[in-house]
Amino acid sequence: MAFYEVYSHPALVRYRTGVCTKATLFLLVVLGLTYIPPLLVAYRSQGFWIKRSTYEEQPLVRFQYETLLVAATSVRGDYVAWSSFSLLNNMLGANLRIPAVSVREVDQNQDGKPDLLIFQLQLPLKPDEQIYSVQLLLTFSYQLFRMSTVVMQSLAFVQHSSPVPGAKLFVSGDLKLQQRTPLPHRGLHSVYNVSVIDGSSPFASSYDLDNIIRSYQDRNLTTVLSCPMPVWTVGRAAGSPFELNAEIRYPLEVISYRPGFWETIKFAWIQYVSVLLVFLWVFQRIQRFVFQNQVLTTVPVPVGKPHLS
Amino acid sequence: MEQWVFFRWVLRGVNPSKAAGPDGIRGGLGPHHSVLTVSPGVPQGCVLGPMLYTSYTHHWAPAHSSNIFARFADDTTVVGLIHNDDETAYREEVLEVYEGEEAYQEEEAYREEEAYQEGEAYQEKPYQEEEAYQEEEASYQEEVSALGRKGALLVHDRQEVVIRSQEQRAKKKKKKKKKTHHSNGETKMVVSAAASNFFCLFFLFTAVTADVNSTSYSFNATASDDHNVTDTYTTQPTAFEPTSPTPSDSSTEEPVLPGEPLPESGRLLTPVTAVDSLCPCDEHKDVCDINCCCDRECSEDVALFTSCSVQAVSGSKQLCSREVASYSLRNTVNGYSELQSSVQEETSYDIFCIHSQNRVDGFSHPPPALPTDDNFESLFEQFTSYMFGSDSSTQVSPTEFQASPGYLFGDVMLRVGDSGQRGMFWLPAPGVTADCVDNSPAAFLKDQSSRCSRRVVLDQDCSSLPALSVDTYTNIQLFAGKDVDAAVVPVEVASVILQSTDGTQTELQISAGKNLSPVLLRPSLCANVVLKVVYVMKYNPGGEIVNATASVVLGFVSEDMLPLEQEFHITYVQEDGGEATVRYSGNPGYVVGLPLVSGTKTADGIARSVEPTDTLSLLHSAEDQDCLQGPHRRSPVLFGHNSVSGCTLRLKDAENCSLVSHLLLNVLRRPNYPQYVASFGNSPLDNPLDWVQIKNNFNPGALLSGGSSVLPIRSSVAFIPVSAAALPGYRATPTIDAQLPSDFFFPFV
Repeated sequence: MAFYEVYSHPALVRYRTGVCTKATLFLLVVLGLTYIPPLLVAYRSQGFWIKRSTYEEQPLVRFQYETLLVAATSVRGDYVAWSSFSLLNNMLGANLRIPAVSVREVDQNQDGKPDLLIFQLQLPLKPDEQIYSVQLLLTFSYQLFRMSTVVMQSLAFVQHSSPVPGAKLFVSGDLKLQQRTPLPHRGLHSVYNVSVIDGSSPFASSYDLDNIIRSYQDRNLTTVLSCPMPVWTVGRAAGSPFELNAEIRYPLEVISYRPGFWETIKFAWIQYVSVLLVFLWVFQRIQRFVFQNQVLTTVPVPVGKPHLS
Repeated sequence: MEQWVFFRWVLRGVNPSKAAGPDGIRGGLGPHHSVLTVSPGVPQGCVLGPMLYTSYTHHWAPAHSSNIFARFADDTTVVGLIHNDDETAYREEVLEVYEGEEAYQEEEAYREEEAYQEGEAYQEKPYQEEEAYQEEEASYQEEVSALGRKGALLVHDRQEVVIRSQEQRAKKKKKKKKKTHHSNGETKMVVSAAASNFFCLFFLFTAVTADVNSTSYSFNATASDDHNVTDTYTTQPTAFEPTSPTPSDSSTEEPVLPGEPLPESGRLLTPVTAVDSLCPCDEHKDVCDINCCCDRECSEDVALFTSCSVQAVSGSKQLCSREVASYSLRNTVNGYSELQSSVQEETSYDIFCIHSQNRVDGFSHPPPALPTDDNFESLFEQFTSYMFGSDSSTQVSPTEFQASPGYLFGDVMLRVGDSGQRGMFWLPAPGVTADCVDNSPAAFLKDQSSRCSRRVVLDQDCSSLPALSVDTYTNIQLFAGKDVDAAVVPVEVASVILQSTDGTQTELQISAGKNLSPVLLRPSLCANVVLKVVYVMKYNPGGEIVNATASVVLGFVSEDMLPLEQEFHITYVQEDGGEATVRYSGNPGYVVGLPLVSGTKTADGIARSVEPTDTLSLLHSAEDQDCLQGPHRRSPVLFGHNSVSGCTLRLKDAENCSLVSHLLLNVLRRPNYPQYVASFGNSPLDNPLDWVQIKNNFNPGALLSGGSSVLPIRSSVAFIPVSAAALPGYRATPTIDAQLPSDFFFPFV
């Protein structure tokens, strides 16, 4: 007659002992060794508490239509300049040269966030002038929403000079975010929502590029125009204007932030439990061996047997 | 469970146009039908059971080949093609649907209730005439009030009640008004929309209001009969691929009166939906566009084409079946091209394609608010973010008055202008470049020193350029305060120093009649050019300028000094303060970047100079680089700044070595250099313990010339911090004996 296993269940064996026995001491030691070393292992293997994490977001960038242009027109250092600040333009006097500017912000994927700025500038020149260097400063309003709400005003700076007079400068690059410290994971971050250039100041020092860039670079959160390949075209015909074309993209940014309390706990918990499971299994086996074989004297209570005492 | 079923059909007829195009469709239920309301359907806004609805309405199928049922989710549209004003097929179809639904409902054998009778009687009235409409209105009022009295729960399972809201009638009235409007259009579509819903549970009066709220939706749906579809059965406005953008208003035939601006009409133009009438590359009117295969003017020039710039115009890719107009070229035997164009129905095999859509604007952006005279300002506020010309900077006007009569810190100072008006007191400063910007104002109580360069052509500008003349800087009358009646303070000339071309300075005695304006001595030499101006302003606690003096350095400028560098300083002194103030270099400790305080020992303590530059200093590198050729410029030693500078020593053969070394020491650390340095930035002079003696460790070693007679000499300063590094953490952190690291409990502490 063939037998087969029709059903099975584990049997519970209780081991009883007094309070002041070796078995109690053993139990305490095992408990300590089971639960504390996983914490140490998880911590010592680095990365237990995550302190920095990243997320992706396309910023909402808008050109603020504030511009400052300085162009050197001779090797001796003569220059022409123009800005969108009327106070500075008044100060420039004879060096003011008003260019023709056309600006277009393109939302390529129609999601309400501009993706590309097309900035075209034509600087008229006198017959004896040539362009040797160009400095262009544009300001942007930069906003992030996903984790912490960041509102700031930032700038892009284009600077190019050449020993050969040029006809055109073409710049195509990305407006990248630079962080010195991670952002908080929530809340409003509007420390840098101040003008990059104080357009209401009548003092010439406010428009000094030195001062502007110095105070801007003091920020922990800046944008920088990454344009590895500016194109300087030589051979300007007399009477034709100098052209400056810039295409500035607003790409998707990887933003690092400091995770919140529960995110930190969550990842620590995962690491701790995964190591703890191994320890639990090992010490379970050890305990079973010790008690089954009566290495430490205890009173086993089998299943179904009414308890003694 | 009480299941309530409401069906509502709204059939909108459109008057056929008087002049139909050759291949035009004309729609409507004839001239004598304007609106027919049919009972099946539910009010808009109900919770919908699409599965049940689909199963209940699955048996509907068009009986005539010229009609189409377009269904999506809860909406059903009957679309018909009408030839020669003969809309009988379409009308039959609609009635079929209506009656078929009736029969179907009867098959289900549901009980009829009083309310149902009312509703049925009501719904069966044909709405053909205006009189009938008036009657309906009356009966409707009765009905609503009757229903209201009986309560809303009169209707039982699967029974139908027609609710005609006021809103629908308003719509109908609007429709009537638009009759002339519609007759302008050449082609019309007939669209009857229905929205059905099951399991709609609500009270009757709320049903009425819900209907009111949802009318904007149904209005959109019924307004689609204005779409100009020329030779296609498509009812949905089709969004086009990016390669084939919808062209502008030229090809749509929206009945806008000529000469009427867009906001007056109150509507936006509707998009063109027929794929074969669209030609995005057709950019020249009545002229063939090269390589534009869909251009209708290109029937002869097509032989010259090499490729098609637009190869396909298609509807939205999300639709299950869409029309694609494709254009291609084929080479004929004689080498010319031949156009092949076709309009095909293309099927999408995506399981989530849209079979038919009920939302007219489902594929397009939400309709924007049209600017009118009323809402222009608010729309402008809402959508304008940044633009050129929105210069927020406010012009600082000299006639700006504030409460206080005197100047405040940072205020722009005012002067008497050239023609007596109030102007600003300028102090030239470098602007966007190192060149002088003359129009930069000086700020009250802000000490300022600037150095800027000026481009000068000597023989032209020497006597004519105002920036070179001393009068520009000294012949100034300042206003003591901001008030209109503030006293006028003239700038006095304190001293005039004349600097020769080699840099030696002699003080000029100021006499009244002496002319100090620049004079061109030779074509390349200009005398009495302003090189440096130092203003000292005395002010009183009321913010008024009491006294203003200017010290000027004039000099001879030759061609090799161009571009000319000018230096401007302005300092502010309290009226009752002493002549000179002792400046601390930090209080109490030194501030990094300020000069070291040094002094010499006298009988009663330490003596130091009040001049901040007269302190421990380093030789400043000069252009001739010779150690033994004076005079030497010196730069003070700044706290915390390690620096180096030097000069070169040119050894002659028979030089007295000890004399040279003595001279060198004098050059490197001034002849009477200070012996003591203050320990703190504010060390008192009468406390010698605060002063540290400078140790000299001088052992003249052998100068190894190494074959060269030019020897570099260097002097350097190094500050060595001996303070302990700042460590993170606390001095007395509560420590855990297990020696846990400090960030073990990072998120908790």
